[in-house]
Amino acid sequence: MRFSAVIDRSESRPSLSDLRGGRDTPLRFEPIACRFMALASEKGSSYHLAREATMPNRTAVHSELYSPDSNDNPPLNGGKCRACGYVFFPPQRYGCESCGAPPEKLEAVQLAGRGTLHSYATVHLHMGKDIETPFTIGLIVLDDGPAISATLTNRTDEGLAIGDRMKSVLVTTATDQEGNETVELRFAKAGAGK
Amino acid sequence: MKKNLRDMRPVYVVGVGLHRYQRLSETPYVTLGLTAVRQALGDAAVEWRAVESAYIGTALIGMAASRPMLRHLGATGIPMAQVENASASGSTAFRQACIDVASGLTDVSIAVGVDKPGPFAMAPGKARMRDLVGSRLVPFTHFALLAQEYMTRNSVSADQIGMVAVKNNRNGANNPYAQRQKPRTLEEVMAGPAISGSLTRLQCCPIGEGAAAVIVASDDAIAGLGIDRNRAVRVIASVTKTEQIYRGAKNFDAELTRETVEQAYREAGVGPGDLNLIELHDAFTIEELLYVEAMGLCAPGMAAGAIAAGEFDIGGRCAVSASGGLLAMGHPIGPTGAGQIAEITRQLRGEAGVRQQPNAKTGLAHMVGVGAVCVVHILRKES
Repeated sequence: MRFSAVIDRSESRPSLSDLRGGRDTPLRFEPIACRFMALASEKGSSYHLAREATMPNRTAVHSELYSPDSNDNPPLNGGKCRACGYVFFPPQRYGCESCGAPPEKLEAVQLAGRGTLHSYATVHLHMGKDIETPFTIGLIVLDDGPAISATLTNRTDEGLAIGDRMKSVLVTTATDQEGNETVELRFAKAGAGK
Repeated sequence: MKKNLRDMRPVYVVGVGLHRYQRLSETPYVTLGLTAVRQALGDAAVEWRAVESAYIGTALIGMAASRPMLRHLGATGIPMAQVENASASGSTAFRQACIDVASGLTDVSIAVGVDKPGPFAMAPGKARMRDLVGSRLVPFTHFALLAQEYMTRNSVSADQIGMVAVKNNRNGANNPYAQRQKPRTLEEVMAGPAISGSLTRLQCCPIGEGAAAVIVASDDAIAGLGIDRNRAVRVIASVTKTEQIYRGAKNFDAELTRETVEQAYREAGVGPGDLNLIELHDAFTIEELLYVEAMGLCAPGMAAGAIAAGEFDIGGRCAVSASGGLLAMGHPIGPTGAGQIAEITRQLRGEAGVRQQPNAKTGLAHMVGVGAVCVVHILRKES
């Protein structure tokens, strides 16, 4: 069982149920980066090769916002207005909110998955049937400009402080019987040295 | 040439009425609305047949709410329209009624807010612009984020923010139309249950059902219908704006409020020091701190201290949410903005009973709504 070491490690972490799927399924809550690193050390080879050979299909919860195949610290799909330079997230093709330029002037840009924590809130109560509490939302000002809201990898705000450096990570939120995974982009505190 | 409301014909509030804000009940919306309208008609001492246009602020009931309700006052054939502007629906209905009278299209118009909680649709989700959080980020979390940022930036504690709920529940306890009519201690407010971030249940407004009605009239109507001029309250500014782009994570709720209130001050020729009372969008405790600062009532970061010192109590320098605000009087959506006008009118007339702010001459009503919109009115009792 190739992934057993990784799975063991993930199960020792706080788990977060799939916020979209059924709440009865206990789900791993594991930054994909850990999996890549484990694979790379196990095989002694590039994780790209390892993935081609062994990884099941992966689907992003928000396929238009990021790639499910990104590696550590995935970028976000944003937009930019060629007329005025305004950078925005989420991407849209309706027209520029800043200058009103038409869709032809809007282009897709990738926004680095790095930013600064502007605020955070741990949600204790939620009416959504499939949303398990607590979970924590962060308001992050991306280094590339836009302020975005994101779910943080930690359920609670323990250890968080406004001004913390944050980075994107992909989190596995569901795995089906064939091993196909659903992944979601969340944010975590950027670790020291990263 | 463009004109402000104040450059047009004077508009006066001449009648107000409310149906208590309360938990969802079996009462039909028609009964809620008619209760408020009949009370407003009685307050103004005018007949329904004198009303020449009607705007119904409602967001949750559904399409075509107006005539099925208002026909029971006698089908006079007047223009009626529903006004939906999220939480500011009632405020916007009031503005439309004011514009009708100010422009000379009518001499008497009515704004009615009426709503009942129930299944409803939100348009923003249909724009097909998903973000990373979707329904995980509901309004109380949006404001919990603002609260955390405010506490950190200004070294303010969660308890200090909770004091807003203590003050507004104290006011609501004396308001027979309030959904929450119980005084609360800080311990009760902070005891929970926790909702999001530092916000507890009593720091979040209740959303129930209710109705509010406001009749506005011209000088001609006051003279012609024999309305008591001494109880008329003039509308001296009506301003509404929508969100622009604010750089970075600047707090758009506060910025939008600042811009809208500044324009209202200019048009009315008043400043924050002239206000004796304010009804503002305190759907969550943190909002009152943010908005009194945005309105210029105190310097940034100083609102918590001002509340602790009683400056915004009834009897303080400016009573904020004397009705109980959204936190205690409640936020049934459509009625809320019209209900603010009812409270300010009663206060400026000196008819607010135990909630009376002494010597109240000038009051400001403020609502924000998802979208984001902001609506501000300034009312004055002219002697």
